[in-house]
Amino acid sequence: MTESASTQPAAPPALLALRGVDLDVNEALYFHDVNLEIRSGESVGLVVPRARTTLLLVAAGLRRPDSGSVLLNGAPIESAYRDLAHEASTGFVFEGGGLLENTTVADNIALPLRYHTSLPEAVIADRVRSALVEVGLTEEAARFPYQIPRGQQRLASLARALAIEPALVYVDDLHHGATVEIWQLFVGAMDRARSRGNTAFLSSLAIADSPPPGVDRLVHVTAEVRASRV
Amino acid sequence: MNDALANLGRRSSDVVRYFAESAQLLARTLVLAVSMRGHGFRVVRRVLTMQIFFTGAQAVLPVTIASIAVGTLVISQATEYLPGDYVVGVSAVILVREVLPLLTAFLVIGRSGTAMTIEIGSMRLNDELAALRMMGIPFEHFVLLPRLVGMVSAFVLLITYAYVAALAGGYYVWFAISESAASFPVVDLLEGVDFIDLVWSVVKVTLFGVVVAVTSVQHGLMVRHSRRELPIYTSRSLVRSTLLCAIINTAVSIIA
Repeated sequence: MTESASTQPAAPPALLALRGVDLDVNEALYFHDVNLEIRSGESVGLVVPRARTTLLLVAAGLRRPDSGSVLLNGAPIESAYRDLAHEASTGFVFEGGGLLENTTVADNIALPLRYHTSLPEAVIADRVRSALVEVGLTEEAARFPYQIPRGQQRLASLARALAIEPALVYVDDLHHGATVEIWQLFVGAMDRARSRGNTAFLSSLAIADSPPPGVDRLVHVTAEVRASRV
Repeated sequence: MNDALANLGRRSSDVVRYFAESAQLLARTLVLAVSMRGHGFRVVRRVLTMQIFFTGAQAVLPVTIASIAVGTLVISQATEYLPGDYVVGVSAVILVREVLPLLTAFLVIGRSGTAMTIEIGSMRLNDELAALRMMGIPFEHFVLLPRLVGMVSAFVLLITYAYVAALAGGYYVWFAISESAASFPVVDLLEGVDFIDLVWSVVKVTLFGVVVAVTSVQHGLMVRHSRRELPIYTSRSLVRSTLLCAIINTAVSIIA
């Protein structure tokens, strides 16, 4: 019927904590008493059979749980979003990318930098170039999201999330439809972000008999969340 | 009977809730505009410029054609049926205060309001709005504010343009069709517009701009699950914006 997960016992306070989260997804599915903690630099994979995105949206504060709480740096996540100090502390890689369709790949990556910082355009252009190199998308910089395949859109989304050096990045459906090449680029970028900036990752995963190569390197702790209906 | 009353009650409460949500959305946007002054300005400015270009500059041709057509119609009918002393005054008042604001509103609603609803609905379905929130970029600041300001600015620019096109264009077209018909110089027509009439028509289009922007964005936000909802909410947005502009037009005319 439920839940549950844990991370390594560590001294620093949890970056993200889900406490007793209940969520009624639909007539056939609910989550009950989900508890989870993530600390800086950790990479946690949430293995969920169904409604993976929904649970991740709750963890990201984009959907309200029926009961329980989600804390970001110890504060309720809703108030964290109201506080602009929160800005740029989290990123989200949506299943479809979530890139702004009327903006080029490069401008998508530059968007949070332009909005949240007063960096000169030349510096932003440099950082965007580095981010594009990181995910192997230099050729696609001037293209619009609809002009590139879904896998590359997700890579661009990851680059945009990492451009602001966030504390925590949510990745929906980590391995969804990725080709070997895209998957390797994804793993490499996440690995480097963790070792360089101590960025934490919370990814949702489908239950798979044969996990994709490199997933054990990428996901340190697997939290299996079961869901059902009484 | 009871069912009918219950239905009426439900509909009334839906209408009240809709307007309360619209007011909340507008209030949040204005509060953010003040509290975040300067924050992210370069990004918001870019969206604003695009909005003014799309709603204002790209609508110049249809507004010109429609204004000249309506201007010609009103001036020709006034010349035909009114005593000479009334032609200038009546034509100017009807065009400037009543017809042109509404005509401009219909064109902007059909062209930009519907596009805005579809754009916001698509952004919602593509997780673009959720992505903005995750980047710490408030939707009201990045999406609604520039569209609101852009829509109002474009309305004011277009109505100014429509005056000239309807009065001068309409005059010359009618003059070309029926040489003897225009028994007064065009400058009389332009000078026949009272300053207070101009002020009231600018008040009207400013309100139109606010209503069309908020209505279009709000209907885009109602799209939640599927692309099939896009035409439903787009047509609702069009009808609601048109009705609200017609009501505002009448209300302001009565007050003025």
